[in-house]
Amino acid sequence: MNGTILQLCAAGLSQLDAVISVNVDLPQKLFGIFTFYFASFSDFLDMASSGISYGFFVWLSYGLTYLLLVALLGWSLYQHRQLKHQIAAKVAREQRIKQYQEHNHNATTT
Amino acid sequence: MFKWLDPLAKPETLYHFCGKLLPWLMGSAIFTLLLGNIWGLGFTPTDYQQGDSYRIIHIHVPSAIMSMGAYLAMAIAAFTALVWQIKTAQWAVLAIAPIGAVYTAIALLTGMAWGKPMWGTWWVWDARLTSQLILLFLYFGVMALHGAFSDRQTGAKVASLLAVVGVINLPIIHFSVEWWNTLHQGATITKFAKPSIDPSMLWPLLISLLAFKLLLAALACYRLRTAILENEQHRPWVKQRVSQK
Repeated sequence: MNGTILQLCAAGLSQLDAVISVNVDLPQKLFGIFTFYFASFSDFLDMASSGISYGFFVWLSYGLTYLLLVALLGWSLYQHRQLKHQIAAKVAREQRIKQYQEHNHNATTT
Repeated sequence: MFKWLDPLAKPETLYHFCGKLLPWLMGSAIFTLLLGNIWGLGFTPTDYQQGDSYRIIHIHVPSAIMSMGAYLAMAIAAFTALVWQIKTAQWAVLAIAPIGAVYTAIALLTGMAWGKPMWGTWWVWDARLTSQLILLFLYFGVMALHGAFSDRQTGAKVASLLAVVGVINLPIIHFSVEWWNTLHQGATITKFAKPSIDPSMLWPLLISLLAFKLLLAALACYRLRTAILENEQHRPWVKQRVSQK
């Protein structure tokens, strides 16, 4: 009886050990994928593999992408602001006309 | 669902709804874009066949998929505008079109920069590339038709019609790599089978895909707000809003 309980405990402990060892491994597994692939920053810019440098093509495409996205964002922002200015100017003009008319009306009646 | 959607057809409600979504969408878009791209550029191993040129995948594939996604969204808005005569849907068509055009241009340009080192040429007239170029012209067509009529309503209707008819191009783009012999490689993730890419490269790619989707939503929200203001500028609520600031 005692023997079987001991055996169970041992089995449980070994399983726990397995769990712990996996969990010790876990941070390494999680952060292992976030290790910088290139040896140096110039290697990163060069993007060379098996003697061929792909840096020009990779950075050209990323550059063009961000250029186009920023241009679209900037154009949209500009359009929105311009429109708001236009509407505000129109509203202000309408108010000025209204004030002027009221003033004139008052001037003629008194 | 329509009970929930219906109030959003009212311009003022939609303007405020988009305004509430905008900071969340834009913030998460910029975060995921930087995360996905930096991860893909510097923190993934190199491809055993294509070397480091494959890193273009993290912008090429998301922009290509979302250029079609944007077209589908635009076509659904156009269909809604045509069938149910909802004017806010009509404005959404013109809000989405330039974003889709930019995404399509990005997919084409990055594809060229990837094609040069891999295929030895910037451009070939094969099925995938040509059908994607037609998508760009469809976007241009929708934008041009919108402004081509002296009557705005007519222009909007014709542009929506083109957007709906142009949907036929989407399956042609997607299946072009199977139907015809092309230089372009087959689908890697947009298929029913398991993705044929290593998980270490798949994750940054999926994050970049999400980033392009969020950016599309954010830009569409922002541009739709501009369109609402422009079309509703004579209404009291717009005047009140603008003169408050």
